[in-house]
Amino acid sequence: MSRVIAYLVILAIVALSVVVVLQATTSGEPSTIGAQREILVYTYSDFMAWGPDKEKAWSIVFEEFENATGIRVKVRTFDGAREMLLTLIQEARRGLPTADVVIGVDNILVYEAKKNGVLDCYLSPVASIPRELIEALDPEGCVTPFDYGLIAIVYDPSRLPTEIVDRLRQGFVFEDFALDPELARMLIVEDPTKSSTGLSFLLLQIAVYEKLLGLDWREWWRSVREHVYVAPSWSSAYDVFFSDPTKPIVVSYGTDPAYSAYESKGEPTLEATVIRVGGDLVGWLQVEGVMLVKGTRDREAATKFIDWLVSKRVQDIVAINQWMLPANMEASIPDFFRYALTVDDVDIVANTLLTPEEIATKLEDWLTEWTRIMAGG
Amino acid sequence: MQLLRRALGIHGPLFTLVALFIVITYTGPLLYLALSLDTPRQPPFDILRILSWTTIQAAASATISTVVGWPIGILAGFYGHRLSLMTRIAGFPVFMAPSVAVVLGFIALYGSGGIVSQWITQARLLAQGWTGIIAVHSYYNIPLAIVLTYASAIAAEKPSIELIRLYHVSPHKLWFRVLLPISSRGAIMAWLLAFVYSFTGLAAPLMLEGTAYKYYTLEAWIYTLFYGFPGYLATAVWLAVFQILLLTMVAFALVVFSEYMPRATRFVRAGVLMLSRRANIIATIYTILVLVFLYAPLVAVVYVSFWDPYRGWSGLQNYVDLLTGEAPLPLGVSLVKAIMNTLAYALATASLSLIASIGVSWTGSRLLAALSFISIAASPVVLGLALYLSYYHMLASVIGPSTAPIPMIVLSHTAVSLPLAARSVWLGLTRLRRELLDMLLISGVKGWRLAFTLLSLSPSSLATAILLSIVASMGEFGATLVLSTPETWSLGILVYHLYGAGRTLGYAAAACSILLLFVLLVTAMGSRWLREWL
Repeated sequence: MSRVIAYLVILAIVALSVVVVLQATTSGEPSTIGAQREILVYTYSDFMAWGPDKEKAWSIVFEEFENATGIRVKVRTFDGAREMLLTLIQEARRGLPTADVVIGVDNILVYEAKKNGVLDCYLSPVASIPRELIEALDPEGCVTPFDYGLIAIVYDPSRLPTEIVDRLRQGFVFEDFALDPELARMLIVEDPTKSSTGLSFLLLQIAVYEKLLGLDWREWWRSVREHVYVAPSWSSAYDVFFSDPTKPIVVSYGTDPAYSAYESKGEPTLEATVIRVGGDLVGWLQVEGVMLVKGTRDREAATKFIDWLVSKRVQDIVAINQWMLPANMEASIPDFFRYALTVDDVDIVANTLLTPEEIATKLEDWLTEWTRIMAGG
Repeated sequence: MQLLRRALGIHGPLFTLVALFIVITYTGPLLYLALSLDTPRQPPFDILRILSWTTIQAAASATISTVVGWPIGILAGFYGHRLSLMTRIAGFPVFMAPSVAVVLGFIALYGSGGIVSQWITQARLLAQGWTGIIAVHSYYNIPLAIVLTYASAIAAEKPSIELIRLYHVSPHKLWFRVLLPISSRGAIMAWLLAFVYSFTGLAAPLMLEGTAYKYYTLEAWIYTLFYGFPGYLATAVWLAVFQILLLTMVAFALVVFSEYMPRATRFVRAGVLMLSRRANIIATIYTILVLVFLYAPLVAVVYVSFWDPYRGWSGLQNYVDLLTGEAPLPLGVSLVKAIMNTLAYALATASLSLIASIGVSWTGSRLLAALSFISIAASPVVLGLALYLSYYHMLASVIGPSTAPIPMIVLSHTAVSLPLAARSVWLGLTRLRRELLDMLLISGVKGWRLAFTLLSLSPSSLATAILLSIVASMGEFGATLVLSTPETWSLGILVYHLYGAGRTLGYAAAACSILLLFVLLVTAMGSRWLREWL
């Protein structure tokens, strides 16, 4: 038996050593070792995943770039965009190898990236991106817009009573959900501490309550916290939306009806609505961008990749694969998008109600407060 | 013990020193944690509310698991009820099953559109909200209650029970006046342990029902603050230290109470009482129900891995996708790598635990024994946090940031497995016939020769220690979640990350089934030795 134990000890030490050595020699550091240049890209798991052929879309975005430039692109995906940024921040703090480029940083996460010192200012000069979009993403113009869309409440009319459908078609009224627990139980929202969609919805709600209604934004969350379903990411929210018949309303994007029409090859089966305050329709514009990470080992390769992402070649496939509107104005948009809700469909863009300074200084407090409320405080 | 220590000569202190070194490498960081307290920020939750909820759910879970498991312990111990005896053994893999597997099983069975909940909608309560958390925590402590109440039952004095039987006491009186009180020590011990495990349970609050912060326990909050709120590290450390202090009191009660636990000898036979035919039928039905409840989630995980309800796939597609990289795995992660990591951690943990447990058991050092049980007071997340803050930067500068988590993960697994391994080795030593030990000492066997002779005389306890360490390492979740980077993920962490939502349930179930297969294989390999230990 003692011999067996001795063998086991030796085996374990050898196994551990092999793993340690393997880890040390094959760490995922982006490098320029040898002839091959390489960059590491972080994005969310649903990036370019909603079109007819994800593989083809990824091949255009990544492989065509690799073939054209000889720069290898490694991709790591995350459930939610904020989760992705938090990982990046943690890795930067730990001194771990981290991303060179991040796809999916939106107009709120930009502030967090700046605050934590992980953003390197770079705006691609090659694409025709409207100035308003650049400023909506970052007033300082330090991040390159990739796509944009309107945050909306998406619902399945076939799973809702007619009376509720009629009300939703007029617009989403926060107060209705606060007063009616049954209605609130049908709603799925994303966790704003992890998901950029959830974060946009939270800021939209804060803007509406604080700036338009003159009310304490926390009241609404206190009313609905026992009833709404909080999903960790947009994709898991959509999973629950599809798989749970009792939850037919989800916070998502105004472009979802376009996707629904494309899927059903006819009229959309899903509808989208925005917030109604009095007689006005209010929306939140989410602009997703591509961020250059501070301390990248190959800045030239990373910026080349950002330029590629906003080129017409890639931007042409954004609409059908991301179901968001492409940032490059020269890119084509399919016909299904006539069903999408856009900025033209709202009276007030809530982004304008919150100043960048306000977001930058209060964001952490808002998130902390939201967490406190949802934790029952 | 003193005699043994003397006979081991210089090797006695050597064993102690080696064991002490291993134990201090993970207990030291806990002290460092307490010393590195910084000004905390107000946590983003009501601390009193979270503390109340954590305590209430732990107490409720411990009570339910004790109430459910106790009758089976009595049936097995006093009556020798065959199915109950079998359940005592069969429950062990459930108790040692990785917590992510259990939670995934509950989701597959009772979650939205689950195997059971699509027919019985009320069953969804078992996989959502506070009821879900209590259900999961109760679930994996039931086998613990069975084992400990059984141990109490078989250690009871047989003649007195036989005497009671002669007086024809009614079954009601027999149970409530005699059997339950006699086995109550085991039940109290089971309750205390179940309370600690439920208090520090992480997988259920994190995985059930999206991100339902209102059901997060203290352990889940410590992890969330560490990972999701970069500005709250000091708060996480404060809460970790607070939790250690809180659980130290429970651990102290446990240690004190364990002194009063009746000690059964190896040759005790279960069953002095007879069940009537009717009672036998009721006992059998009850035991079958408990067995089904225990195994259903594990079977459900395997089922869902082959018949994915979300995608409508059947067959090996989930496994194929995982192996070929079609499944949504992050960069640097593959199923094979996670399997290799899991096996390497398990082997390294088994080696460290075995060496340390020999030192703890043979030298009779009270300090060592107390330190080795520290993992009861320091939860996995707290341990992970302490190891990270103490060693990460030093290790990262020496062996690189990608490799730095490996030694820390092995240390955390050792901390979790050492109490189990040390008890096994200690039992092996106490079960040696006294005369045999005396003979060895009288015949002048000393030093290394004595050590090797003792090792060769207790092969089953050593094998059990190794198996328990391997299984504990494979199932460890909290510390590995805190410490690992994608390249160093174990299978359990891979499962946790794969299960983002219903869409990826099949993939998570496939990876989880492989993990379960390993755990069951190791348990089956050691079933002969484990039966003695249990």
